[in-house]
Amino acid sequence: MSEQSAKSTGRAWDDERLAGAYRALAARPAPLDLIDDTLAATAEKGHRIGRSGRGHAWLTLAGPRAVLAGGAVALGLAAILVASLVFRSTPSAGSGSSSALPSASSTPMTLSIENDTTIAVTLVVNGKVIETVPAGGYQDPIKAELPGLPWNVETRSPSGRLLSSMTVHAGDVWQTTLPNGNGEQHGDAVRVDLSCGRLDVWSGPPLLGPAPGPGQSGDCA
Amino acid sequence: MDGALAGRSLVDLARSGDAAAFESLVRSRMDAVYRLGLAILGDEADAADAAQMTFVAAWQQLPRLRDPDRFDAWLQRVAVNSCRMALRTRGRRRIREIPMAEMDLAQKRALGVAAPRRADDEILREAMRHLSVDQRAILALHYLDDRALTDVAEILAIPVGTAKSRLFKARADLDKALRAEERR
Repeated sequence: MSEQSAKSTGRAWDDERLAGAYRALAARPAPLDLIDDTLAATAEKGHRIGRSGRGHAWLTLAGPRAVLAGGAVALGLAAILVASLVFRSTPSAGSGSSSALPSASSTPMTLSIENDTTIAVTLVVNGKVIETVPAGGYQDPIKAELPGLPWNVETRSPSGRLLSSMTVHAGDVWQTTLPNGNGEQHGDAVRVDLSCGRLDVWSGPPLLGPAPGPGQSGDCA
Repeated sequence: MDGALAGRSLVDLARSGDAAAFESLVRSRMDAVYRLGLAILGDEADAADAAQMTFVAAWQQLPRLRDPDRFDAWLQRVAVNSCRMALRTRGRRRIREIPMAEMDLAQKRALGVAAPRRADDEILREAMRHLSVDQRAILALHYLDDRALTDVAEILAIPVGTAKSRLFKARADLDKALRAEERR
């Protein structure tokens, strides 16, 4: 417990007391080596790469953070997008390192959306409207109940125009730890750059990547 | 050049791939990002992981930032998303570390010894475990640095009305958890 800790007084948890507790909880500055470790991770792995399309993967790096955590239990979480296609039925075909995957394990299937456009987007799964995500809306994961897999996922504009689509199968989302200690996560995602902004839908790790493209006139109608 | 213009210039340079400018941004923003991680995750190692992930993602996504003047709000949003991922990953892959103080408390309870009064931040840390990461985030953003609801809404990219209702619900849930935690 930090020296800044405020002892419990038994009084009500009003805003002032809560703010004080938050300040005490977060009173510690960042560890001295965190900046250097972060810059090293950025320089080494933070390439600005990415692509749209179905199937993508992240690497999670077991690096300096695990050392800083003071034990082997904390995995390094510096994550980078690897712009490789991952084939659902043959996951090892997606990247060179995957041929050495020791034990891929599937993870719970979720669906997420980031609507960074200026229009409301309707999310449809297996023909059923799940919800309408407002402009600037973000849900990771979507709370609404989803039908059983596989999911035929579509996003539609207010006029009903199809904006993007993808299919998610059971087992598409999985992760593994490589022999070198790095982790790898795979999932499905689709990205579309419209004239009114970017729309991402994904299952598994989210998409990163380059600046949005310009889109085409009228594509947000 | 004033501070705001200098910051804007650094963001512009970093967007165009200037690593030195990005390093300056990391150095000037690391403490704030780390503190937000601590307030959401309640764990130093997790907060460090999330902070590192935040800046790696920021470097990759900076070209997506349309308005450099909103860099800080954008960075906080990336940090919240990194905390979300860190918490999710911890839930799947991480063994919970039990602080020595907590072990002492458990031993004293087992022996029927009256427990010492706990610090507010310790109670808060335990109570937070009962909240979703989204609830933790909106509470931390609001209470840690006394941010206005409009700023919180901008960071989370949600309407102000939504932020207000989410904060209200999160505060109510936290109150329950705090009271339960104090009774322990």
